[in-house]
Amino acid sequence: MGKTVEFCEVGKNFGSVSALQGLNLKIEEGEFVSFLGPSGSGKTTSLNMLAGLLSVSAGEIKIAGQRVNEVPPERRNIAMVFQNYALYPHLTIAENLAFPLRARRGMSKDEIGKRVNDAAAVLGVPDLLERYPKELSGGQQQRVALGRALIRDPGVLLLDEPLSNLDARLRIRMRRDIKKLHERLGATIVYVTHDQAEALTLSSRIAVFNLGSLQQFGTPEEIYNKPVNTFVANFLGEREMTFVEGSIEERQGRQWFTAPGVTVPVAHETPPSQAVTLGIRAETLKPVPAEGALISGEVREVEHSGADLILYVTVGVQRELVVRTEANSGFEKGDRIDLGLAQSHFHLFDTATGVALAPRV
Amino acid sequence: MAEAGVATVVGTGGRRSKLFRVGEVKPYLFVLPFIGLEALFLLLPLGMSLYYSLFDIKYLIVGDFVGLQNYFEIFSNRRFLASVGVTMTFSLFSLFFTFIVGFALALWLVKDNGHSVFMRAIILVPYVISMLVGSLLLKWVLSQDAGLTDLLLGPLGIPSLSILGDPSTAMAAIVYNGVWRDSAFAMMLLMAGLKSIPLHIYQAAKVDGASKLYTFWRITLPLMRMPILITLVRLLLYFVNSLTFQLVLTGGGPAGATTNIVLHMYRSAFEDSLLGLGNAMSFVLFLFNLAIIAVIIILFRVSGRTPK
Amino acid sequence: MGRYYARTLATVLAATCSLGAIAQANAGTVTMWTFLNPENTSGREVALRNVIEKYEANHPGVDIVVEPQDWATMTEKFVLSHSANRAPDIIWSAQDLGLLVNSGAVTSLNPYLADWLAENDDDLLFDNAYDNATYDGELMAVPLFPYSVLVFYRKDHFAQVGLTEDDLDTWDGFAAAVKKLQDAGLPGLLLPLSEDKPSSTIATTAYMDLNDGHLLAEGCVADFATDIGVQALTLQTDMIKSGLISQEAVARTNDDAWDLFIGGRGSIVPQTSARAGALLSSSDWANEETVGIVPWPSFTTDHHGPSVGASWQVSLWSGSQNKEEASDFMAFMASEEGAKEWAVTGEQLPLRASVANLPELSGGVFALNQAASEALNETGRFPRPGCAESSTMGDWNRAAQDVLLNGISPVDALQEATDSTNRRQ
Ligand SMILES: Nc1ncnc2c1ncn2[C@@H]1O[C@H](COP(=O)(O)OP(=O)(O)O)[C@@H](O)[C@H]1O
Ligand SMILES: [Mg+2]
Repeated sequence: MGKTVEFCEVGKNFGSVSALQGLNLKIEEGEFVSFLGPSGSGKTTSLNMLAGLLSVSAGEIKIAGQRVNEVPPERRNIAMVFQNYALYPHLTIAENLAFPLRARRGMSKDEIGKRVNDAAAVLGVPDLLERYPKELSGGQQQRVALGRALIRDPGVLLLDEPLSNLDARLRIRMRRDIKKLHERLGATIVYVTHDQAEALTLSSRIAVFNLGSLQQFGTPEEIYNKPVNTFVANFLGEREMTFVEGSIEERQGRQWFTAPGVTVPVAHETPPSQAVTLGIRAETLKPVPAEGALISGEVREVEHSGADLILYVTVGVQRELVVRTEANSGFEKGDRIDLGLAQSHFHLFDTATGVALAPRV
Repeated sequence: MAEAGVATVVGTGGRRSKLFRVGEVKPYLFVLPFIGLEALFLLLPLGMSLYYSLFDIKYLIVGDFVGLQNYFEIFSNRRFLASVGVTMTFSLFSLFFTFIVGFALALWLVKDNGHSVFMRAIILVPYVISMLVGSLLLKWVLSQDAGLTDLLLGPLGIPSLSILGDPSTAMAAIVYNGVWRDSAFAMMLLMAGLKSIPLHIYQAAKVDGASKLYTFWRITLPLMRMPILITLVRLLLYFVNSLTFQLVLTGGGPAGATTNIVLHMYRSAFEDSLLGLGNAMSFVLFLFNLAIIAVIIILFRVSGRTPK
Repeated sequence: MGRYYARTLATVLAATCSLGAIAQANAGTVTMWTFLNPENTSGREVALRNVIEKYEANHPGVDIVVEPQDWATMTEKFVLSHSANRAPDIIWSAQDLGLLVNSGAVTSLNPYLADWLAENDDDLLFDNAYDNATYDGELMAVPLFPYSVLVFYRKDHFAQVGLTEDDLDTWDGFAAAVKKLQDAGLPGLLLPLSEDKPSSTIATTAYMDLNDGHLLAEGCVADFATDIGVQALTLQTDMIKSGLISQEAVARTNDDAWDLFIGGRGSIVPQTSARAGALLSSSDWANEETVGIVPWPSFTTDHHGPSVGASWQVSLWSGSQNKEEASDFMAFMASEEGAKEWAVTGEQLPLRASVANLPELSGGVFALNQAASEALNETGRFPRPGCAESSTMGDWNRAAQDVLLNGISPVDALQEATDSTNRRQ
């Protein structure tokens, strides 16, 4: 059964370089948590410390409530899947799968054989057992790596960018397989990725990292809909968020965000300076009839992306917004377009700090 | 793919068939000059050595054709046969200890931190100083007169002994000389091998619960097959054909206890000026070398399950 | 004999290249090849310069031209040059006179120096060196720097335990002296018994003593596995077995033993007399009060043991156009004036009785040279021409090692030494 994992004020320095600062995180039993962030943000560092492959510079890591800072990896009851699989090239697939069992001793040959066969069957690689890793495709190797990690029912399973070496379709299939495996095994999983789609689809909660510090830890829904700052808001979503700097004004008893060419009603807490930034995703706005419109503009470019139509809309003086609509909405270049809010509210941030401003209810 | 590099270190057997694809002449044209050079510098002298070994030569004057006479003389000569024994004893002991020490050093110093770099430099000293100087130095250190051995062994209750004056300790002394000098060489070869094993493999083994010892036996050693084979062959050839240790440290003595084939050959050819005999010995030595390489390679083939 | 040809062939190239350098012989010019360079500053080289200057001053019409050579290849080069008829008038040689004579490259000195020799015979020392240079009654070379392997000993250590050099007259006395030194805690006998870089030893000296002064019989034939061979070898191995000689001796070359002696780690060591000067200059303890040179012991008190002698000597090219002038200069080099230069400035053994007694030749290296000179004069035995003898000492050492360490009988060990020596000739 899965174990809890806790990071308490954990930091890591490589010499004078600080790779991670003050990480606080509690992962519940059987939870699937993703560490999401751009490259170099400290995800792998955190994971390796949890695995025991890196020493902890500051703070405390607990597994199942026990401090493990000084516990060597082999005694942490964890398993790990590496980005490049790290299969043992001189061992057959069967031997690779059996390695964690043999290394720990005490298990009978028959039991090991049985487990290897079971694992192979579950992963769909039963006829590959006598081959060597380099004789397998990337996807097959990935499965073997997973199998090797799972073969001894670890309390915590760590995966470091496990799918990033696979092609797009295989990645999506493996994503589903991993999700199914998690549901079956119930192990606590920490999953490192820079791919938000993986994080959003797989995780029960996501920890977003940037520059060695945790930005936000929450459910995919929270992370997506209530990003705590411009970084999280911008990092999530398929496209970059459009940021418009402006200010808050109270008029006619209502709160308005105003910037050149953009004036929209908002309802948020206001920072003292009144200088705020409006964040607009492609999903934030939608075409509406002219009378209900918040903003109007002109379609500058149309991009077909399968089921959707992406519109690049110019509003005011040369300001460009991105709007996603249905493929059959029929907009064409040069059309006038009126836009209204597609969600309950805009994302609004304090310009000075980048911190999100909570919407008033 | 990153792991392809790892795999090639381990096994190259699968590529074999491509080497001999017929019809492609061009690639061979490029290696032709090197084969020519090889022929000039290896095959030609070898052939000449074989040719002259069939003559009675004294002082560079080629005398009668004597057929295999020189070979019969070699193999009925007690001292030559003894030198074969000395060669084997010296080579095997030196190989054993040099390999062990070299491997231990390589494992110890494989990490690129300041301490390792410093220690590597120190350990390389015996290897980079001239062999002659090194052996002369050891000769002085090991001589009874320098008193260092008395100083070290005296407190252990071992009476003053003449290391270089006794056949078995003299053998130990040249073995020590060999190990002292070439452990650093073995270390470098093996360290290059160790560095080619990716860190991830070790991390995986750690997480998989393997102890240090288990990792060494099940991961490091098998992945080091090729580097180990290369190191063993190079060291063994080197020890079998060594001359400086014997010539400088012990002079082949006492009583021939450290006269190996090469020194015996050297003395016959250049001090006694019996070049026909010397050439016969060199040819025998050449066959001996070939046999050694063959045996090691066969041992490795038999013992290992190399991936196809 | 063939060994000469080996080296001869090896130097063909070098020699042919330098042939052109030799000045065409012309009257009044005498060319000479030697390993000494009169431009340099060592004792012997300054002496050579002085000798030449004096001779040229006395003979205004004669010009002595020295072409310094590498001593190791000089003889072979000379023989080749002789074949090309472009050799120098005078050639120096040490152990290679046999090659020079047998190749016909040098000529008899009798026509030129017979009278000189008769006149100076009484004064000239080292008859044995002259004998060695005489082939079928013809004098083929004039000895200049004779030397031999003799016994160096520490006078100061001997005095401490009441020994004198007379105690080294017999092998029994020799052994007793070593024992006495050892018992007094003084350093003992250093004997090089390695196969490598060997020199005269107790065994070879005793054997030569018992074998009419020769190591090899006529025709360079060895026959060591005899009663006298066994007696000589056993004399030496017994001294090792009884601890009078350290077992380490089997690992020591001639140079090793000598270095130890210089370092004060021995009281007795065999060494070539030519190294006396180096001993004084390279150790702080050595002077004529602390070190002496004596002949080898023998089995009886009526004579000393033989020493292996050699000499640098000068010969006359058989093709020389200036034989008169050249031989005259050769005689001058061995004249009283020449001998004085070599002995005083060059610190070599005095060639003449008249020079040996010069007041300048007292103390320091001259005292040692005096002793060496006497010993060489009395006991020096020169190897038979053309015999490869130096490795034979190594064969004897190997025999001693085999007896001591491999449990081989002395007769068998000497048989192997005999075979090795004969295979080499
Ligand atoms: N061994 C190391 N030595 C020095 N710096 C390191 C080391 N490992 C990682 N770093 C640094 O730590 C930071 C975080 O790295 P990492 O955790 O690997 O990022 P991520 O996995 O999020 O891409 C980076 O700036 C990286 O350069
Ligand atoms: Mg990473």
